[in-house]
Amino acid sequence: MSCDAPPSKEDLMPRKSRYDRGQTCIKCKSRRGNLVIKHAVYCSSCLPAMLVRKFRRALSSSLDPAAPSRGTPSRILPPDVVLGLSGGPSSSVLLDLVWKCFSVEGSGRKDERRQVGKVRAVHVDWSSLGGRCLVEPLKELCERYGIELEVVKGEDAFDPAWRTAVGLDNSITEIRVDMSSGRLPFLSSQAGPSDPLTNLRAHLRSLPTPTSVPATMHTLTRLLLLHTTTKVRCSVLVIGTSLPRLSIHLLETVAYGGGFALGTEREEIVSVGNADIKLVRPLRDWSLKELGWWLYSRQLSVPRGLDGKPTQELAPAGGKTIGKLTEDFVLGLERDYPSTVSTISKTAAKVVPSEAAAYRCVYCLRPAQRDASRWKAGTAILSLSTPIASSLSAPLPPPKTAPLLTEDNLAERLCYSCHTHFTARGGTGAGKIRVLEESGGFPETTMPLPVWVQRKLGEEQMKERIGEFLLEDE
Amino acid sequence: MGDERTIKIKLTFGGGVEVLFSNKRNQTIALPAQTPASGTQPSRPADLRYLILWMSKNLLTDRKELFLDGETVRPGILVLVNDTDWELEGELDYELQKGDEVVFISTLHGG
Repeated sequence: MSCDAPPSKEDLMPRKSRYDRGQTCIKCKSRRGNLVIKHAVYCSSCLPAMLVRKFRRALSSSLDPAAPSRGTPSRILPPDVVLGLSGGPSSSVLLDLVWKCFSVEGSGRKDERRQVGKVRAVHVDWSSLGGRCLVEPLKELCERYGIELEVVKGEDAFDPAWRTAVGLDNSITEIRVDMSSGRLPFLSSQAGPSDPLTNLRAHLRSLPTPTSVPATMHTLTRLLLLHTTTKVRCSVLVIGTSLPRLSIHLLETVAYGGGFALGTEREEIVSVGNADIKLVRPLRDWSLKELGWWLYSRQLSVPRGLDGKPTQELAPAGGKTIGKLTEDFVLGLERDYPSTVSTISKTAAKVVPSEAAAYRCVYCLRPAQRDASRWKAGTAILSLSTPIASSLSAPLPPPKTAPLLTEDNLAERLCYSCHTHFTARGGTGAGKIRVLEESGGFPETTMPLPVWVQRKLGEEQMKERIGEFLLEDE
Repeated sequence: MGDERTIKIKLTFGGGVEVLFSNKRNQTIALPAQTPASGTQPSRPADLRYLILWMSKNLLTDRKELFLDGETVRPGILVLVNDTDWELEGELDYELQKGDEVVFISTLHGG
């Protein structure tokens, strides 16, 4: 064979098929298949029932783990649920599946065994940071399904009025921390603007690396959804995280040092105010192909276009964030080694922390291990106090880690992962984020915090707060 | 009477990928039935590899990276040929026939 001539079919190695058992559907074993899912072939007649069953099973195992998989229905009262909708493809699939499974119109059966009670939807709107507002198309979509949509703005996380609306303690004043110290001490000064949007921008702008920005927005979205769920007196928040998205989040969590709370990425119960909210992801075992097939076969529209991801507006000018690198990696796996994506999720489900959680992180409300920030203080030099140039003549003092002070600071109440996002110094190739460049009057080292983050009260403050209820000493 | 040098293909977009194609969910195109010969590569019947290249030159205006990954589509975009997964049809090597319907569904663009 000449090097110049194009290879003929005989010259090429036979390409390995991506499916294992021929082109016939593995369910009915009679019709030609239409879709390959993890090496198995399904026909278009068997797919809908298989996908509905998969959705119901995942939801049922999360809502009522004690219920039998088939036979007698559970006797527990179906809980009211909130659907967290981003406007992406999995949101459309989630909305449609809930309607199809649990409404008389969708299922076509009046005696349908209901797993859920009243259904509401919540969307977090980040359009104030740039990007398209999806409120109107999402409202239209929800109206079509007869589901009420509540909209929360991203900046509500910094709005005292929203704090009151969701039932949080409204006597707490705005809290800021000093980002120039790794211990993140609280600032007593209340100077500076307190407009929620300015606070949100200042919060994101003071994050040390571009990688922290989408990760923090993800946490803020999760917390806004959870607090809104308590506001509407529901105990279950359902979101449409698909299998690849879950695997991306799991790997990201590991990369940010959040291994202690890895299990919560799959399913979690979060104490929000006085209520426990169960966060479930019934699409957690759905591959992208299954999502795509449902979108296509049900002719669903997706309010957010391919280019409308909120964090796209906040992408750094150059380089890639850890989240984007992980996404590219997992999407490549999904195409070439689809079963491996499932393995990531299933392996993470088996990871159990070696010790009980010492407290809950005040920022993300996830379980945290004891002394998360103390460990970091003992192993890493986060800042060099003496400029190297001035110390050249004198002998270099031994490196010191920050002393473990007893002052009230944010660091000791954060989990390792959130602390890393607020104090990380690493990262290369990622440039400035243009839309956050305007400071809005905030010094770069001052970070306003979301309204659910509270300071630990001192004895005096505690007395002042409950003074009117205390009995006087005789 | 149809032009034998072209084949009519119906394209359908969904899942948000339509924003890259003038927001039109359905389009019918006349694709050259044979790929042009280039260098050592002789002309061959139009296949999905050629369709994607043709689409990138004629239909995609900007942000090509949201649709393309080399000569194929980005991971996360489901491709169906006449309602069947393109993996069952030979993927990029599938030779297009007159009246084929090719569907592109985007499935992942947000958390």
